[in-house]
Formats: sequence, C-alpha cells, structure tokens
Amino acid sequence: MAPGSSAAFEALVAEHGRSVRRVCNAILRDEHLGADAAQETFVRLWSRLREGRAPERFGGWLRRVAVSTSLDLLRRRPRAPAAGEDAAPEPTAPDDPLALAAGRELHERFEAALAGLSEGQRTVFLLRHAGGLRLAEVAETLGLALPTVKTQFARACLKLQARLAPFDGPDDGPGDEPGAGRRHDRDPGDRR
Amino acid sequence: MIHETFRELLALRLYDELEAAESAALDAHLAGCAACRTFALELQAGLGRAPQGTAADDLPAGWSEALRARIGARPSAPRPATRRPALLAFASGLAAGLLVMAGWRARGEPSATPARPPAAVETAFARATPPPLASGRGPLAQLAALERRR
Repeated sequence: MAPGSSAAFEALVAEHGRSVRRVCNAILRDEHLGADAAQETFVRLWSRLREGRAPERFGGWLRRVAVSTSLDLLRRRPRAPAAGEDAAPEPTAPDDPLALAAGRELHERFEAALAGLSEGQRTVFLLRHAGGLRLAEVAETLGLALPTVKTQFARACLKLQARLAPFDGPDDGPGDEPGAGRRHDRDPGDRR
Repeated sequence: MIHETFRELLALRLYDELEAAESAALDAHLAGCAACRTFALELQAGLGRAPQGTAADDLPAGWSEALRARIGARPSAPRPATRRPALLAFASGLAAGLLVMAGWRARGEPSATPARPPAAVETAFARATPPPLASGRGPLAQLAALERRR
C-alpha cells in the first residue's frame, strides 16, 4: 500500500467509520455482522479509489454501499438472530432475571414485528430509528423521494406500535407504570 | 382514512420529522379528536419500547488492523504469474491475426482500411494492458482534488 494513498484512505475511515458502522448495525442488528459489513464497505471504497473512480461525495456513497452491503448480508442469513444471541437486548437491570426475561421477550416481539414489515419499510425504519439518519438522509441514501420515505416510515411505525403495545389489562392505560424492560417517558425521537 | 393520515403524522412527530405545515394541521386535528389524542399516547408507549438495537457504533478493537490486512492482501499490480498466460494469449492471437491478414493479401483482396484484428487479439491485449487511470491521475491526486473542491 503506497504511504500517501494509505494516509488519505485512513483519514476517510477515521471520518466516516463510526457512521458507516452505525448504519450497518442498524440494518443487521448484530454487532459482529455490522463490523463485517462496515469493513466490506471500506474495502469497496479502497477498490474504487485504486481504479481511479473516487466518489463525488464520500459520505453519501459510503452510506449507500453500507446499506446495500448490509442488506446483502441480511438476505444471505438463514434467519434473524433469536433473542440472547448476537443481538443482545437492553435490560434495565442486568442482574434482575425478570428484567432480563422481559427484555428478551420484548426483543423477540420487536424482531417478529420487524419481520412483518416489507423490506423497504424495515430498512427505512431502522435507518431512522437506530441508524442515526434523518429521513432526508435516508431518502438520499436509498435514492427515494422524501415523501415516499416519510410514508414508509410512518406506516412502519404504526405497524410496529400495534405489535409492541404492552399486553396490559383492559383497565391499564399507556400512562400506567409498566413492567420491567419498558422505557418510561422516553420519546423515541430523542435519538441522534 | 383521514385518521390514518393523522396517525401517520403522529408517528413522524414522534421522531421530529414533521414540517411546520404538517405540524399545524396535526395540532388542528388533535384539538377536536379525542381518539387521535389517545392514540398519540399509545403510539409513544408502543414505540418507546422499541429496542434501540446494538448500542456500539465505535469500531471494535482490531477492526482497523483487519481492514488494513484485507486491503494489503489485494495485489496492487498484476501478478507476474498471471501475466504469462495473458501475454501468451496475446502473442498467439496476434500471430493468428497476422496469418489471417496474410491469407487475405494472398487472395488479392484490396483492403482500403487495415484489417481489424480478430476479437481474440483485442481481448488478450485488453487483459495484458492495465486500464488507463481517469485523467491520467492516481487515486491520491483525485482525492486531493476532491478535498480542495470541498
């Protein structure tokens, strides 16, 4: 590897590595696969640079390749990971077995709910919800019109909400204290 | 159907993705629709449970080294071992082409334009010759040019 081109490439990795990995992790929901997909993304960038075909805008190009690489990996997987495997849930009290069990159950329901979405809705939702991208960036990355992306995202949210709503009794409302594993007073939009 | 549209707007509001006009229309609807106001709370409760997923987006230990190894493992120039078959193919294709041209000339057919080598020659030649770099500049120079433009 020539020292000059290596330094420029490493600068690109340093600048975009985290955001690429976040996109890959969001789609794959698996840290190891996300790291692999991120690596593959930068390998493709390196190949393109060696061919003398540097992208116009590295950020947008890297996001697009990260998404397509991640989707390819996802399609090649036999099935989504079960709770407790690579994609670990987030228990509120790691030492509490009930919290762990509730967290796993929620994770399974989330995965099942995601599986019920179309690939387009799922990709849009995950890129916004977990990928750190605004819907305008999602639209640019996927090459779709913003109104289309907004509609897909909103419909995905409504479908997921129906699957994730707490299975409380008929007298319990959304304002009641939930069981373990549920986030309180948390606006899902407060994620960036 | 109209409630469905406003419920979609509620989902977008949850993620702060509403434009000002959309937000105003939604507020006007909510002022007069208890069902949608209740749904807004249910939506927040439901989606608030959605797992964030893997928290780590930092590059794991050893990731950069593994990437360097993968890139370093790719040959930067055609390997000598692969050149010989390409050169042999080129040479044999060229010889075949020359024989064909000699045969044409022997038959006395006039050729206003030089005979085009057979496809096999062109293919072998393309394999033996690396493709020219765009604008004759290497990747580093192109990167530097892009940086200056930014």
